[in-house]
Amino acid sequence: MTTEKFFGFLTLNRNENENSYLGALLVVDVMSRPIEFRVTFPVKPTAIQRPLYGDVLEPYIGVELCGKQLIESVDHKLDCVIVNQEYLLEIRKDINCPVIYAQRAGEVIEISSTESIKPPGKKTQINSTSGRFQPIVISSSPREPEDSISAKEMVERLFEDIDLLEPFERIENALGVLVSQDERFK
Amino acid sequence: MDESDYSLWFKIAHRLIPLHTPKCLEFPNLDTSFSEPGINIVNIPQLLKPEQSKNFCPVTPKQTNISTSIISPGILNANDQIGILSEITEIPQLFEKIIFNGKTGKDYRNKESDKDETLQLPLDAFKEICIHGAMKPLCEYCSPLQSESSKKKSTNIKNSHIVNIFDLLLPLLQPPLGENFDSNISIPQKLFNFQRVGVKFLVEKPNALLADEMGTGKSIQAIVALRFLIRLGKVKKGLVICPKSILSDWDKKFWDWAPELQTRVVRGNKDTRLIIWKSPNHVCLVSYDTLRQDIDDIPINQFDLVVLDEIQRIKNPDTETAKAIRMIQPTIRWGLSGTPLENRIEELIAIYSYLKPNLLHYDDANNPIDVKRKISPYFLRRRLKDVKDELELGEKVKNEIWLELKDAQRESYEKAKEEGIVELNKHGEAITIQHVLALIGYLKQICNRESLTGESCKLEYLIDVLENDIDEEEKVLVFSQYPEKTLKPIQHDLEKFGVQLYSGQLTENKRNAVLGSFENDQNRILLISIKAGGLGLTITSANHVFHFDHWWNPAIADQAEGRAYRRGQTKTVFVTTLFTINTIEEDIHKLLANKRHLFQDIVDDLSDTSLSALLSEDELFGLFGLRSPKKPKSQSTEKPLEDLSPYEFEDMISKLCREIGYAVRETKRSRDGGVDLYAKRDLVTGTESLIIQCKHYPNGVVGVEKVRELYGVLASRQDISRAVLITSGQFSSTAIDFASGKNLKLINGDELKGILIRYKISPQ
Repeated sequence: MTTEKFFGFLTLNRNENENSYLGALLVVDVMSRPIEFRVTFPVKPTAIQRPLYGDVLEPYIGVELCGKQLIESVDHKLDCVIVNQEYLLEIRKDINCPVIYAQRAGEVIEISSTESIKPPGKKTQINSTSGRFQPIVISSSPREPEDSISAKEMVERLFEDIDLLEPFERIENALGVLVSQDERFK
Repeated sequence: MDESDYSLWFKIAHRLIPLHTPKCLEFPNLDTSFSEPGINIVNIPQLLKPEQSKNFCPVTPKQTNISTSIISPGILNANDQIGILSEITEIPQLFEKIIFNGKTGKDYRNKESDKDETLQLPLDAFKEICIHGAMKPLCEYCSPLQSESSKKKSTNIKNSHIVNIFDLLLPLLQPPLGENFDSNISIPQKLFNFQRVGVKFLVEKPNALLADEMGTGKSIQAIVALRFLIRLGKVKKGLVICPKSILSDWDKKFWDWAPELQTRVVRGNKDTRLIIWKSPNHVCLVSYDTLRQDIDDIPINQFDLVVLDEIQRIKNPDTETAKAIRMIQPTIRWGLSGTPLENRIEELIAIYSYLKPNLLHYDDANNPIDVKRKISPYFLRRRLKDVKDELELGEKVKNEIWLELKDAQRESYEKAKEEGIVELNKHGEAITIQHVLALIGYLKQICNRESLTGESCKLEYLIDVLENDIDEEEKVLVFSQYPEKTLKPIQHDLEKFGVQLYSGQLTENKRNAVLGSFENDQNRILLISIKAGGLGLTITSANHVFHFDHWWNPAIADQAEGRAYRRGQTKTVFVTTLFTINTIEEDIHKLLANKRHLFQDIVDDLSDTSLSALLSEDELFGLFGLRSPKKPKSQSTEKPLEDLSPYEFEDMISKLCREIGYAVRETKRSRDGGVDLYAKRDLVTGTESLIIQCKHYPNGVVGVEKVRELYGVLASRQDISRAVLITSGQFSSTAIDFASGKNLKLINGDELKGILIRYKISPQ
């Protein structure tokens, strides 16, 4: 029988026009089929709040306000959470499974930040054995540097058939429909 | 520097202070701002970066304390500093914590969404496909619902329908089609050899009927074959049509056996179904009824493969369901059925008229050998007994139990039957087969259980067997075609054994819950409506099957037994069919014996056979001695009852009694002592002896004096059970009153005609 493993794709989507943020978590199975979809209503920092939160604005909204609530609300036990923004790795403190940050290999030029307090998590490149997808680089939270190692096998298996960054496109499309169709998400 | 210059400075400072601490600004056109030419770089007030208090916390930002001061006033004078500071000190007063407004979503596996996730959308919107290939409400580029006009539309209740917003999103959340097929095919269990042959057969045959006996895994073979074809790129989108009761079973099997395929069950309200039909899936699962309802609204050309499970559902080409299916014309058409031929060979021809058009014609019904030859390339059937060893199946032991109706049942049965026949006769030429079927159904219900007293010889037997013969660890399926009149009433009597009822009245969720409860809990008996649960279910935890009543069609009974006797069953399955003697069940049983013979001959062996034993209207009417009204009267020597002579009338009654089962002794034609016939027969309860007097008064009325005479004879004979006075005319009301409550049976001309037809006795 197929092993029931569930992967969560967590993202924070910024609506430039509305100056608002939507947190979203898509739970998929090993075939990348959607199992569960959770989304927050818009978080709208004011013009005063935005500069005052400064650099911590999106981490605060993404982790403390949205991510934590979304993770707590899913019905399925997640085996791994994949995020597309580095600051979302901080959600690791609220969940007992590996959290990894996935980037397309070579797409991001790393600039070391002198202001960075925490050391970056260990980065691991994953190749798609089918050769269909560009390699990705995964890294984990500095809190749990071993996450990228422990999640590697699961992620590699998933990456055979599924582009690990593709579910984020689905989420973005779905959020686009939500915003356009439902006044509550504007 | 005038006031407008101050405001310029302030705006620059106000914007930059919280983020940066610029030390100077360039003004290329400074001439316009300052009176001294040549100066294009000026110092601006050096504001310290806002300092956060030590207890700063993003969660409680109200604790923030920002202090700012100007350390390099540059060319600004003191008034400028005061003006800037007074503006900055207002910031903390405007600050509030960022508000989290809550979350929502849906668990697609459990089909439950958070409350209030419905959205009113105009139905017409879903019928439009935009230039981007999506339904307009789902297209982010050209959704018509973003505009103000959509708000107006949504307020029009008549034109709008409730849909779940997260159902709308599901297609968008699906992985891209064809993106995940590069892995090796993995299947949850190894296919049996015969199943591999079946998969190969389907993959290679675009027009095929897989007619393996139930329990051999036809649906799994079809799923694996479909999976191969999709992965080979030969099929883009498939459609599986099946009975509603097994939609969930198909869905689960797809989940297990083709996990990479996106499969959606088409159900819900009309709007939801429309969304599903048009969403990008590999396979749509739909019931026959739903397809019939939706056929005009779905893009039928999108399917290049269709699987018809229980394809005998389209055996009648004139039904709306069959017509709807014929509108779908995919390249690949597979039929699945354990019983493709239930009654007549024309049904097989009808099935192939869809699967492989022009292969067979209705004229072929007269030549079964030719039918066999023609369909053999497109037909595959393996019986359980052929693959039993491979499946490691246990034995199936069938048993028939013949029971005597209990007293109240018998009384109620006879009364209902007599009244029913009279009623049928009243219909005359207007009688239809439905009238007969209604009477049969009523009589069968009495055979199951007498409703007033609750007496049931079958229930009594079942309880006895459950208490004494069946191991307490073993589970039992009880099938009936009468969930309301039989299964519900006996459910109460079986409660001590742990009983569940599975009927068509239950919602799909409740049905699944009942099955789950039966499989996992201590419930020992599952009462199943044969219509709701006779197909598709897998209940191998039970190894005892009772048919509380018998369906017309032996194939239906076989299918019901197949719920327990199928792959995965390792125990011996005991099938017991309960019959009652001297009832309509016995008559039906004789018909079924012939039909079973037909089924085995035609379908199992596809050999030539006599088709004389087909079920027909004549057979049905014949159960009550009636003739099909559409059939022309035969050229016989029969004549109207009225034309008989008195002696011929007596002879006819004598013949009738013998046909019923009596031994008959005729008296002398004259001086008969008031008795024309003595009739006797043995019953379980003892010997029944009758004296019969015949009065052939075709247009007359038998008065009370004739009844009194007969009653006098009856009173003088202790060995006679009952007296019967039969006339071709009518009885007077006083005669009827006199006979009431006595062992006197009066049969008038109308009733007599009905009995004669029932026993196929013609006046001659």
